[in-house]
Amino acid sequence: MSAEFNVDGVRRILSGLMGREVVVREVPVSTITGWTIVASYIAADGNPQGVCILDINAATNLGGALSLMAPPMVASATQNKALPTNMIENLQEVLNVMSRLFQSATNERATFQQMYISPAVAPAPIQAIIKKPKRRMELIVGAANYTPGRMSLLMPI
Amino acid sequence: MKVLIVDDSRAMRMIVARTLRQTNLKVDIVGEAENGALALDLISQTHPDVIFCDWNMPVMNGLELLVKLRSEGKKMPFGFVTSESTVEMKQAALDAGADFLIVKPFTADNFTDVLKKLALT
Repeated sequence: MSAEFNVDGVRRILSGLMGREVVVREVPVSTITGWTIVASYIAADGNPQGVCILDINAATNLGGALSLMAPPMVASATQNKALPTNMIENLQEVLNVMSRLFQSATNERATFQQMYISPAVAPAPIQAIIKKPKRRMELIVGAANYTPGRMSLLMPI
Repeated sequence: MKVLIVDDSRAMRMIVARTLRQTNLKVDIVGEAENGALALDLISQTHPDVIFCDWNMPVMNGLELLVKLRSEGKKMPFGFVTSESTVEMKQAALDAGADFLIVKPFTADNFTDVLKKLALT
């Protein structure tokens, strides 16, 4: 497991990327429901290495905060559950940098593979991790000026 | 110093540029490219003093760009800014002639350190 697969690690990565403090707080285990983004990570051998699930608030918060989008624009994306192209690009970069969280002793390299809207459209190996992760972190995350949201980090090993 | 930023993520190019400005060094961003092939054209046009380059990019990745530059005898300082940094990647970067490797996320201090080591400040 990555030395950074913990609350401080997530905070360090997100705050470092945003260039300002990002609140990261652990919450009790619960499944994120409703509109979600699912990001998959693979090891060098192509096997699934981790999953990150975001609710709409976390997705728009992180996607908006990366390029300091105007809060009303972020709020509009949240309300309409529709992320503009530049927000999606930002979010992909956030998810890419988060790949470090999913490195392990046996798989030094973890790579952000793909982003899916809703777990239902993710391939079976990703759904298997979602259903039965070996390790998980349930978090509230958010940069200031935008509504914080839920993030689940799941690992199969 | 003239800096070229190469990254397929527009957001990351913006962040690298912002972080370079935060170093308070005299930085002139002479261009941005979204892959190695486009960077080759910009390098010929702008003659940067240093290149900050992503590793994974479509069309031509960062390592391919570096190998191409060195094979053409272009010796300007070249560094990777990447979210992955395995031992193998670091070795491949060094073998190809990279001058530094910075892992995302990064700080202005990270950039200052490498630029000072390269005597570009």
